[in-house]
Amino acid sequence: MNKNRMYPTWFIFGALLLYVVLYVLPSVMGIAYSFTDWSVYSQEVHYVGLKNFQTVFSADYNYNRMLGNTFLFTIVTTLAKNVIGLALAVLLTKKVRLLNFHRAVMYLPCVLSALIVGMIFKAVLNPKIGLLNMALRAIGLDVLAKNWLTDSKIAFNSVMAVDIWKGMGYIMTILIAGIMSISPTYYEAAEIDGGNAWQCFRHITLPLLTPTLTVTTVLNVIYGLKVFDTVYALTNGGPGYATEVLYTGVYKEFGLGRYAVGTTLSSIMTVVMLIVGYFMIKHMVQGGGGEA
Amino acid sequence: MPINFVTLMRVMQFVRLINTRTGIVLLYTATQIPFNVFLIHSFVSKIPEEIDEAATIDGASPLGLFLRVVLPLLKPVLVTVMVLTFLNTWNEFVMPLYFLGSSTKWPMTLAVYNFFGMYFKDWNLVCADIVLTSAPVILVYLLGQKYIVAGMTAGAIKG
Amino acid sequence: MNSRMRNRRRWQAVGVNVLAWALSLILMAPLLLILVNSFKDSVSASDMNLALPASPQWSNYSVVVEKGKLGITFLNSMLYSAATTAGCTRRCICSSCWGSPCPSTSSP
Repeated sequence: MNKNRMYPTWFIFGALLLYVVLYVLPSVMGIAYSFTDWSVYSQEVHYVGLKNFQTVFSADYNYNRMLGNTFLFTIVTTLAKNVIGLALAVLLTKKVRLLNFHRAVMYLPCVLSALIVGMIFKAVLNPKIGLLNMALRAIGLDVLAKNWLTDSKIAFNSVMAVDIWKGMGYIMTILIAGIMSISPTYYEAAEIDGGNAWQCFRHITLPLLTPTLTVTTVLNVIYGLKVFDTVYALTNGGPGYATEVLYTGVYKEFGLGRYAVGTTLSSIMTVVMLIVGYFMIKHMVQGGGGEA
Repeated sequence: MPINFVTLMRVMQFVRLINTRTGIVLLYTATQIPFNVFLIHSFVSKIPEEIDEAATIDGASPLGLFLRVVLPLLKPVLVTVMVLTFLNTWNEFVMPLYFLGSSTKWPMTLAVYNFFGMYFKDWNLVCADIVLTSAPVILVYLLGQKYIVAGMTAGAIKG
Repeated sequence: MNSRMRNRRRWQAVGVNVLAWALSLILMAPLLLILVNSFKDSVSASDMNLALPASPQWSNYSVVVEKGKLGITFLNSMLYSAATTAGCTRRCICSSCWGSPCPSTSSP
């Protein structure tokens, strides 16, 4: 009789109010404002149709590069973090001394602010005094010493590398938990059958880890599309527009007072995320149904 | 879902929360609600109803029941939520970047970045500032490591 | 045969440990760099190497606290983090319970 009674509805009001006003409302407004000429100079806002979208997608400006960079960033960092994270996870589920120390060290970059990481790597990647170039010179590889953050050809690669450094521990930690949840009996059986380490990995670890890898991939894709902080801290989109991603673009438009274009960029991201989210939820519902 | 900072500014102006400390706190709260609710909910849904029922029969008042029976059961996940929220908020700097104009209201992360801009020749000072800004998160991380990992894996493994 | 396998195992174990240490050190190098240089004087920190400081300059920290206005920003950070943590946790507990069966006979 009491079972069907729920906690009172007002329990949810506080959270819901905040969420709707500060999260949902701006997104909905954003899509509406994308069709206007809203800017810091305009007293009133006019409907301008698809003009902003034409601006964003036209080849004349650097917006194409922003979108391209965002997708490139997402793909590269997702792949690299998963591969490196998986390798680290496999390594750190073996019998290693001071296991928890190593795990803690590798997770450490994740708890630092992206802004701090950005500053640290401005020091490390400094062409003259940076640790990386000094290390390269010390082992006689002077040719490889580069202007990591100021050469427009490699700056974006450097940004991605820093982000991989920061993020791989996170993926590793999730994958370690995934590997630990695999029953050791599989490995014992494989040992009896005389399987080597690679075969164990290929035929036991990898297939059983696929659900976890899917989750880390999804998390990374969402993170990658939204990336702002690392890029802002390292290069702020420069040199030129070489490392501009979507959200640094939004920030610049905001700073210039071109609110409508900024909103348009944001709205494009909202739509992309909704599509990603839709497939994610669909996948998870299917996955949940399969397990049950 | 991504945040639309430009229109959010409009909303913040409208509710008069722009450039206020209250506004920033509410913003952080709003952005971190979804993940945390997701975490706690997976715990709440696992509490067996029998526990509730037993306590009701023992004559506990509803609120007392919630405080004395349900909350202690949620303690592990609540610590996780608290640790993660603290770390995320400490490290975040984008909200203040957009919505806090006056530097007296800036958090440490933004201040250190500003400091870096002014004193970029004095690496020793910049480094000291970085160390001081990171010290709290590293401390919380070392103390709450167990709970961070628990929260992450609860979110990820169960999907 | 058996001893050869045991030998191989032992080398594998050594290799795994060495690899773990190498990776940890590479990962930590940037962080150590910051820590080490925060104790140097301005001249020796200007080339940002991993050499240990001649004598630790604790004064760097007091200078930074003063110049970087770290007092007020620390309090800001603390306020934001603590208030968000408290508010978020409270609201989330409430929201998370919504929709779950409540045992009470009267609403709390």
